[in-house]
Amino acid sequence: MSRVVAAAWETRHAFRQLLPWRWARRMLVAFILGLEAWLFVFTLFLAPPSPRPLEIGVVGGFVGFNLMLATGAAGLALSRLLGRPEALGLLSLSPQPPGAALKIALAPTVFAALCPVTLIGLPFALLAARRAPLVAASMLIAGICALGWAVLAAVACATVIGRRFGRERGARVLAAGSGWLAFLSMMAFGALVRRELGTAALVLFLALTPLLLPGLWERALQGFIEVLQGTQTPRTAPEPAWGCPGWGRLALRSPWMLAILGLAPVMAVALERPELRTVLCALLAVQCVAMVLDRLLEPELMTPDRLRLAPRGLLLRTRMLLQWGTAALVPGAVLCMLVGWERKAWLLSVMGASALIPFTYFTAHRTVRVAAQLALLTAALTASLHWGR
Amino acid sequence: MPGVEVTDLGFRHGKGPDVLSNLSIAARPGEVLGLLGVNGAGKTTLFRLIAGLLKPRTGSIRVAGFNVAVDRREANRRLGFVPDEPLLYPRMSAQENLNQFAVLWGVPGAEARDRSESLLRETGLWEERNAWVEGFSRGMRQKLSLACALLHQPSVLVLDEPFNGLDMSATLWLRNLLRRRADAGDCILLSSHQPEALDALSDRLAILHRGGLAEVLDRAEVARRGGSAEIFQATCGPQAQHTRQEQEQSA
Repeated sequence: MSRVVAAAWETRHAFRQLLPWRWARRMLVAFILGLEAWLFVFTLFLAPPSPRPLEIGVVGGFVGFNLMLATGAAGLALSRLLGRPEALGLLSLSPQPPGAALKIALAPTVFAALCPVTLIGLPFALLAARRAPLVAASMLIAGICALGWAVLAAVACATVIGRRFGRERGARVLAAGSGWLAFLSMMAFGALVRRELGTAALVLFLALTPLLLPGLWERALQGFIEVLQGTQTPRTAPEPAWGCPGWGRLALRSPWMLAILGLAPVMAVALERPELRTVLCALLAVQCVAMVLDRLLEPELMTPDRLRLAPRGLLLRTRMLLQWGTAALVPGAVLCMLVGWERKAWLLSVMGASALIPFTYFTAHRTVRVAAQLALLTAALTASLHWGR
Repeated sequence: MPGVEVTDLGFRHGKGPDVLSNLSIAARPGEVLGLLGVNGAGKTTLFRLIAGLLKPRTGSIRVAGFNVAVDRREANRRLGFVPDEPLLYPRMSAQENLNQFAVLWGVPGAEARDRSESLLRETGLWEERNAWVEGFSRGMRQKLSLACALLHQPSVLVLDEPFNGLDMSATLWLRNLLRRRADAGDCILLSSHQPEALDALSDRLAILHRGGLAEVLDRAEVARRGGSAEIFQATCGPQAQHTRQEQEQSA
């Protein structure tokens, strides 16, 4: 089996792990292809000519955007390999030369980085090609360079995070951080593209890439292999408080800080845009309860047999959902009261939706639970649009 | 009769074929009942049914005198279940796992502490008591899983391949422990792919084949017919032959 075929299979396997449902994979592919087709038609035939001539300096903004987005996507893909290095172990057993196994294992990462660069960069390069072929060509070359730097940055980040937090926890941190980087790059698209870095910066970037990238790439790969193959220091815990359940400890051992930090952009938008405050408060109130309970119940949702088997399982789960659900309701309630004390109908509807979230955890089916939570969130957001203004 | 009583049991996954049909079997207190069968014979399904994790299509199951369908909570109080995949918390230490299981099974804190210490010392995990389970080897996880199942002092033990991953000393410890508990009046049901373990431990041997009970033999009969491996091969035919060839190749 050639390395290309092995890399393709590895990518396919990663995609299947990311989205285990065939219908979801097909829908995602159909959506991306549809969006891409529309973007091509728009950029080639419909888009109005630019109000000012495209300059080579604009490309710098695109490079910055692609770099951020591709690094985020690559980091997300790489977190899978960092968390479960068994895949690399299996590939290492195959009759591939040393080092080839890692390159095959990195195929999903390269693919993930390639997607945003191709899907967003290519249509804009085509748009540029209508007026300025030189700009379009430089965009393509810079895009390819950005891809290389993005994968390098993701591997370097994974190495540093893996050394600092350990493989499993590091994978979670990397996934969360990469997700936010990709999200921020989308949010900052306009600002990045408007930022004209100038021709000199672009030329420097294109010139330095072939000089620096290969050497840095080898060093980064070496470091990453060491992290994947290295033994981990066993983690320990103090003696438990006998007779008291330990779900609180487990929740603290999950990446809860990242989840809280994840709410920061929503808060920032709420401060910036007063007309969106009620909607964002509703979002925060509902999501806060779901987030806390998700963290708390994660081990039980992953192994549901334990609570089903335990004679006190149902009682303890009910107690936990009520106690922690009520506690998680408080910050959202305080926020909503501060923002819209006079809008009673809105306040009641948002609090009602948040208070119903704990009950969604009584179902064993994940799809039903997520659907119920989405329905409650939609209800809270609709109420905010209706009564919150 | 306390112990485990399975009567006319039938089960299938969704609309698939019958996994178990008209299965009746009883394990008495004070005996070790070994369960033998090829992969897919329905051993794990039977154990999950006994633990109340699956609902039977037909028939009934009684554990320590309690009907699992009606009084699952009471049945589970008296049941110690070790599934093929341990139900441990990977991000908790061995002691924290035992404490959590004690809370879930309603064992008071002080008792849980004493029993945990004793079980951890017996299993040889005392030195690792504060280490997170995610760093444990398969054998260590299996030992801890057994300790968690024994913590609430059940009178019925259902063990799905309990010897998997255990080293020789742990295997001997477990054999002695199960023998002691059976002599003290506990009812023990176990499955294993190690014929010598079943021969040494089982008072009776039940052979599960194609969703039904092929044979139930006492210790003397097992010995007369040349041990569980020979009986398994004679009963399960080509499937057993295939399994045996695989074992020989791997050996």
